[in-house]
Amino acid sequence: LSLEQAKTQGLIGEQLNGYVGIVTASPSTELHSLVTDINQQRRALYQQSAQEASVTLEVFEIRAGQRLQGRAKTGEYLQDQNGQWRRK
Amino acid sequence: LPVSINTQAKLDTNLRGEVDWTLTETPAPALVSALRPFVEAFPSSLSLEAGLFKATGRLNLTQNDWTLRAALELTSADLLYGNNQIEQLHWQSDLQLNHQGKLNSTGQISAAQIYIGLPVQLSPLKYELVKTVKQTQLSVAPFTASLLGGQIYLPALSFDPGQPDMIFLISLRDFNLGSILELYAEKGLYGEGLIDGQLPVQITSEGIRIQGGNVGTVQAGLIRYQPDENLDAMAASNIGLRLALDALSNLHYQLLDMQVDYHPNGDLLLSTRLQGNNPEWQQGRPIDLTLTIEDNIPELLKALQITGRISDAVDNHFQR
Amino acid sequence: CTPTVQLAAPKDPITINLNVKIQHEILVKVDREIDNLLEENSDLF
Repeated sequence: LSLEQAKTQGLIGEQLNGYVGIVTASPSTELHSLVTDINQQRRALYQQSAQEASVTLEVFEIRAGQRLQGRAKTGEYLQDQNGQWRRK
Repeated sequence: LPVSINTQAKLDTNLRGEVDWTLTETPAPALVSALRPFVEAFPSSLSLEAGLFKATGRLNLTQNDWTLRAALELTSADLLYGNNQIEQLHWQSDLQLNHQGKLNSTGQISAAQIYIGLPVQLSPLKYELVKTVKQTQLSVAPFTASLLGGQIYLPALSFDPGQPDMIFLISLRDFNLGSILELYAEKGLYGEGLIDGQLPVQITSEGIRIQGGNVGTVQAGLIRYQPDENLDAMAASNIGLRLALDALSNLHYQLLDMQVDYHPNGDLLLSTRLQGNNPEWQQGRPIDLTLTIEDNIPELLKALQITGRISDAVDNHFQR
Repeated sequence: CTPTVQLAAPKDPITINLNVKIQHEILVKVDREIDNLLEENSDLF
């Protein structure tokens, strides 16, 4: 199962903070490990890039979240300000 | 398509006559996402967050051609185009399209507020669009943009949006120097004064260009700038910078005269001349300060959009 | 009467020239960093 497939199947979606979150109510263990794995890799990249741009990790994560939600395809799930999942 | 169209047809046996149709008021966002795959004119970065759309018209079918007349209306729409937002957009248009693909349409667009990194209000925009297979011509009536405390007056324009090639004069009135300086969110930078100007704007397919625009004021104003420590430290080894910072620490100017040059890549060059004095420096000795400022407008707007968004986001984040 | 010497304020204007190139905030660099991430790690985003 790839990130792409999980997104198009509406199993996971982009959160506000630049990480992916589980949307489905009954996630498989495989989905769990996919999400944890992706978020860990993203976190490492964000830390390095935030330093590069000399901003805090928090500011970098928030800006990444905005960009990732902006480029999500219609029909994919996005988390809104109050934490609800909504289809784009 | 999530839409209901009622029709009333008066057609003879070989399908000639009229069909009156009405598209009942529908939520516009759903309509846009349904139409998006078919209309490449919709840029992917354009999304409709709210709005109601309705249309009504008549289709005339004659011997071997047809004419479609329609009145369209979009009300209280909120749009997001890249990082720019348009709130409470109202668009109303009458159009006529025939089988040869000739389109004549007139319309009006108004919006409560446009946000391009800073708030802008536009006076209602009246336009006429004539489109044939060979050529497209868009004519816009004079309109005004209000921003930074002032107004920009634009004349009537007529051009082919596909290959624009025109030059026109815009005039600026009562721009607030304080608001302009605030854009730079430099702590310690403050100004007072009103600025007018005339800018010759040239638009070609390459983009927007301004050459030898003039902005200024003969009405007194002031600029106060307290640099941060590292700029101040830099001034220690740069006499020109030291003098300029001393002058600008409390510059009361009588004359501000600025030449404006803007390039299609967004680079802005302001060659500014300030005449005045600083009452707290060299006993108010007269100052003749020439300041050339280079900036890039798209970068400035992007920074404004990001800082605008990030500071709200960070604040919300902490409030929760 | 005794002449008084008064330090007259210098009347001739002082001319100052300064060039300022405005580089935009760090946050514009953030966007460039994100662009690089998106390009180099498409499987993660």
